[in-house]
Amino acid sequence: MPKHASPHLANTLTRFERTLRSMGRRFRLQDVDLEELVQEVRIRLWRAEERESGSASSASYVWKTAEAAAIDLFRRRRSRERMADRLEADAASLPIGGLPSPERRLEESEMQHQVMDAVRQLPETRRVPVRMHLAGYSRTEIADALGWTEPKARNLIYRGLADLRAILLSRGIGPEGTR
Amino acid sequence: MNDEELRRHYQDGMQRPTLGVPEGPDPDLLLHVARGDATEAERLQVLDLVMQSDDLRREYDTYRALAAGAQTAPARWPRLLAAAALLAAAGGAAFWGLSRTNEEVWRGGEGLLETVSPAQDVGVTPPVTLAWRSAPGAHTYEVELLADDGRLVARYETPDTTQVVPDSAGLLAGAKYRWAVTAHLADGASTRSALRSFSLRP
Repeated sequence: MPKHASPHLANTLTRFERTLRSMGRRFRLQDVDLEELVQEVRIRLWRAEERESGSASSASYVWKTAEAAAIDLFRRRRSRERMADRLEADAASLPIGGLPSPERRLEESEMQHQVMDAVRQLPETRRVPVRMHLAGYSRTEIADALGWTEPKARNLIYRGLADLRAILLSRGIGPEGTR
Repeated sequence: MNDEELRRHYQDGMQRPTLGVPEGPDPDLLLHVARGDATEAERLQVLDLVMQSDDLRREYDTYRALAAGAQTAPARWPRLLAAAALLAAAGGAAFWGLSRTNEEVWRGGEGLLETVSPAQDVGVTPPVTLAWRSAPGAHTYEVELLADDGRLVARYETPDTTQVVPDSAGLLAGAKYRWAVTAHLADGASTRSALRSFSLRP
């Protein structure tokens, strides 16, 4: 920390980091994202304190700074990813420790394609909660995210999954996942 | 195909950009959705995109964490009003409200933390032991000890519900001191006691 960072700012940053790490665990953030964000916020607050002493260490200012820093961080990351060859991502996603046979990989790839495509066929009000459910979000999180009651979210997930299985079945993909 | 198999295929598919992941939503809009202040149509549209990509989901989860964290730091005016009402009840605390306008009050728990001893405005013989009731979910307590003019004399962090003020704090016999304790909770929120005062007996 630079010499000119006030004790009050240091205290605010400590509280911010503690709270953010706690939230990070709750929302399953990756450590690398957290570290990058914390560092970005630190730098911005130090600079802000140089410009305008005092206001840089209020709690609401810190969280607004963190939101702005996150937006910039992800904009930069998206830009970098667009520049990188997307084919590399495909290669990087191969499992570590022994590759499956080409036939098995083709089969897995085809199944992923079928599931993703079948989800796309669902009506939006069922598609989105089903996507979130399959991505690993809890029913409470889904309800909160969409501004719904938990029973409504549960009902639409249930109906959406039933629709999804019906679409897959119509394509010859049954309960055992075979065609 | 059961839920787990569907999940596995879907999550594997999310990590494969070749399966046709669309361009991500505008980060500002994504932040609004994470905060919960977007319309239902916007939420559906944005989350439909986000849930097709692992990278977008990381963005969304980061904004959710920030939105939840910001809720532990309420706006300044409600904080000051709450503090003023509280301190007025305790009596003679206008000074505290003025002198602490630049302090953090991160309030997220239910209600105030209750102090036990010393009782309000009593004379205390050293060594001074400050005590308070435990707060559910608290992992650390932060104690602030101030001189009567609001100057910070000492700050301590402890997992316990008592704190002995050491000689090194340099408390003066006959002087009046104020103190408060903040409980830091496991979910990242915190809750604070009312400001109490005591005098040090000669």
